[in-house]
Amino acid sequence: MKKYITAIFLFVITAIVLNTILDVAISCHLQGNGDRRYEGWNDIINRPINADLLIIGSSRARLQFSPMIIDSVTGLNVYNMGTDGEPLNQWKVKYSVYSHYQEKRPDVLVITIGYFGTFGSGIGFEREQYFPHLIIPYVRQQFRQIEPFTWAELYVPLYRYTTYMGLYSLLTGWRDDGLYKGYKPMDKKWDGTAYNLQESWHFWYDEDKLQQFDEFLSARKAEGILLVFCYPPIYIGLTHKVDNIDECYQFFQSLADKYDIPIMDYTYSPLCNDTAYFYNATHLNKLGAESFSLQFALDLDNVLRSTH
Amino acid sequence: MLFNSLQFAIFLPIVFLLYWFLSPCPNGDGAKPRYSLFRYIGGFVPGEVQLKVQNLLVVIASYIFYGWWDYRFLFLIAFTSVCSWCSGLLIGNAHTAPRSNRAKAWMIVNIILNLSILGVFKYYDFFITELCSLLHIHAERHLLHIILPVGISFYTFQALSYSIDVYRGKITPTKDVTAFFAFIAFFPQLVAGPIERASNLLPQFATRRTFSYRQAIDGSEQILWGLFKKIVIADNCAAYVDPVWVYHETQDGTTLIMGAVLFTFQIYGDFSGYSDIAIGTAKLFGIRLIRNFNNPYFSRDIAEFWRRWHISLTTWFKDYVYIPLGGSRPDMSRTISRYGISSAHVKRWEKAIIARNTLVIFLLSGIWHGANWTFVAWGVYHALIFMPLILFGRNRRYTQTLPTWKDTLKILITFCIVTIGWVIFRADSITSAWNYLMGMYHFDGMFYNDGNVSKTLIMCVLMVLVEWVQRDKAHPLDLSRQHILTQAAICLLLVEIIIFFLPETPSPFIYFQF
Repeated sequence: MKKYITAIFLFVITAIVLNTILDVAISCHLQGNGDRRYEGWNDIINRPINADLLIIGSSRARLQFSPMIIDSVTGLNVYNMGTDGEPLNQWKVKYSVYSHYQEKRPDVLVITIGYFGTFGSGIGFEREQYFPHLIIPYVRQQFRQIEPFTWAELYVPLYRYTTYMGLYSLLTGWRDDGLYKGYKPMDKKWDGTAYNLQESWHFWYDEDKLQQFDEFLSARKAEGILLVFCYPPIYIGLTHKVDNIDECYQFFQSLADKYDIPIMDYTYSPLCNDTAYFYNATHLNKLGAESFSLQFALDLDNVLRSTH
Repeated sequence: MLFNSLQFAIFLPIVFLLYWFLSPCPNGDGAKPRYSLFRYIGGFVPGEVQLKVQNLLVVIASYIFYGWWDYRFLFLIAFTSVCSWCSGLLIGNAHTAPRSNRAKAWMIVNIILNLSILGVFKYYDFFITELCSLLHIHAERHLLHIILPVGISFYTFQALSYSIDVYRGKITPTKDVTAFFAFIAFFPQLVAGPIERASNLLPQFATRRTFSYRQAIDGSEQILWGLFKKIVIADNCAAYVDPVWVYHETQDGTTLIMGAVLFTFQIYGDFSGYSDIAIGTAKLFGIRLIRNFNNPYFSRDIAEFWRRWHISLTTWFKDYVYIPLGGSRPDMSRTISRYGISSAHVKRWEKAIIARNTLVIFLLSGIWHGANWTFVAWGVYHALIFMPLILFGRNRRYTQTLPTWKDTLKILITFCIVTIGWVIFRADSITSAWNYLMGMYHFDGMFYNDGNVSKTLIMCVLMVLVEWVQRDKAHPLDLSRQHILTQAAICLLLVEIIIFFLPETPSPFIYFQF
């Protein structure tokens, strides 16, 4: 019996050691493969960004704010930290990691808001974007504080990779290169997704999420960072489907009033009327993103001038 | 609780350690395991009580294992166990003479009781639906809509075999209710077999088990191989097969052929993988279960396939249905006297009876799998292929020899025949099976490639190669002749392959539904 338990114990230990080595090797390989899902994290952790202006939010931030255009108009060093998926938990974690690794704190923080997905919980979309960097203890610790990852996913070597599409698929599956300062536009034509999905949309939030968001704003304000809310463009047809848009506006207005945050609203911008600028109802395509970025940069320049 | 779940990974070591901690220690000079509780307090507890305590742990663990899925159906297992145990005792008491009428009556009562439970839970809705459709009556309000209890067909058959064997005088009825409950509910084989015979398993619960290092290592290796077949082969094949079946009416022939071949591997990996895990787990507890699969896809004809596939069920039907019906050597004397057959026609009658017997066991085998016409059709399909072999006395050509490379063509032909059978088995309806089979001959579309099909095929080939090389062994990962470090290295490699090919969502074992 003792001999058997010893043999099994040694086998398990060897397997854990081997899997730890493989975990590190695979994570390093994925970190370095140039895929945009991991490049954003590489920028934050491994490279000095020195951003004056940081854009945070969901994919509606990542795909729609071109740092190159905003840089050239405002003269600021802009970095787009938008992340695909449901945002609030990620904003907080990603911003914590950013603050930990980057020496320079941003002067301006543009936060994308809107009736679509702002207060969703969990990390259900493209979970794999977090996997390679979870070998870093600080990142792991930050993710420990929020629900989506289980203990086993964070601490059992290789386990998290098996909870996605499978390790094999992750290593040999699709890659999406070409991230520039966190920004990657989508060069596609309108396909109607999200618009045809349902007849009506409803903006919602819960008190817990509101409190988290409030704390986040309060902490940044205390750091002396200028906060800006931005409603990025969204296809007008979808806006018309929202049955409580006034509630959404009131919600963000109350926060803006509380922390003295300027709001830049593009919900009814002329861009929103033309599907040529969108690839789906919630995201601008490359043409739309660049047109919008120019408009945004000019408007932001005015906002910055008026606030300083 | 699934074998490939985290819960089982925690459950198994706990039960394993408790089980051996409660290992009985005989009084006297016999070897006493140092890890056993009874080494220290054994003097105060009689030997048979120590054994009962260990068996009671098996029963409790098995009931937890089963109750994890749905505790309500534990009453059903307990009821089946009580009925069969009592019937065993009653049959034993009625045995004034071998196969007496009273004993027979008790056996029949037990058979009716068990088959009624099975019938209600598994077949009632199906037969009512079919009957109503025949009579053009609305069926809905007559249906029970009961969930099918996992493994009901397996433990019912096990319970039936006990009372029949007691009646036949093959085994003596046990008075030890704990051992009997452990025999019916032993968790490694409770929900998907192998269907054990009382003559093999019950005596093992009646005697003291001793821990064997070699057996435990062998069991662990067999579990690992079972996990490989389930996770790497079956689950990855399922990821391709399931969408192909959903959209099979619009798929190209190549895709449908690939879907059929991969399902052939899926069902083998799934079911034989489960059996390997069950047999391996039992070995950890010092229990030997019967072999359930013996490389069925290396069979050279369909008769050999049925000697190698789901052996515990095939032999069950052979022993309890086929042979009592007369098997392949029916007793013609009664038939001759009853029908007044002339000696010139005896041979023809004999063949007719053999054909009937063959059809009956394949039909029963099909129906055993589930309440659907596809299973009946699958049984008939196999019966029709099997019949010529048995009628011409060519069904036992390959009983002694192992397949070799020279048999490749025969193996491939048998594989194709079996694959067609699995299409019927997998289909939701006869129409669906027919459409799928017809679609396999139309090559006018695009081959569906989900991006993983090539790696799944490579893994299937790896499995086939390993099983081919190890085909003379008790199981493919039987590494007993290898150095312990070589064994560890091979097992480690297998662990990494399993992790590397772990699919996103594990699928449940197919045979749970039976």
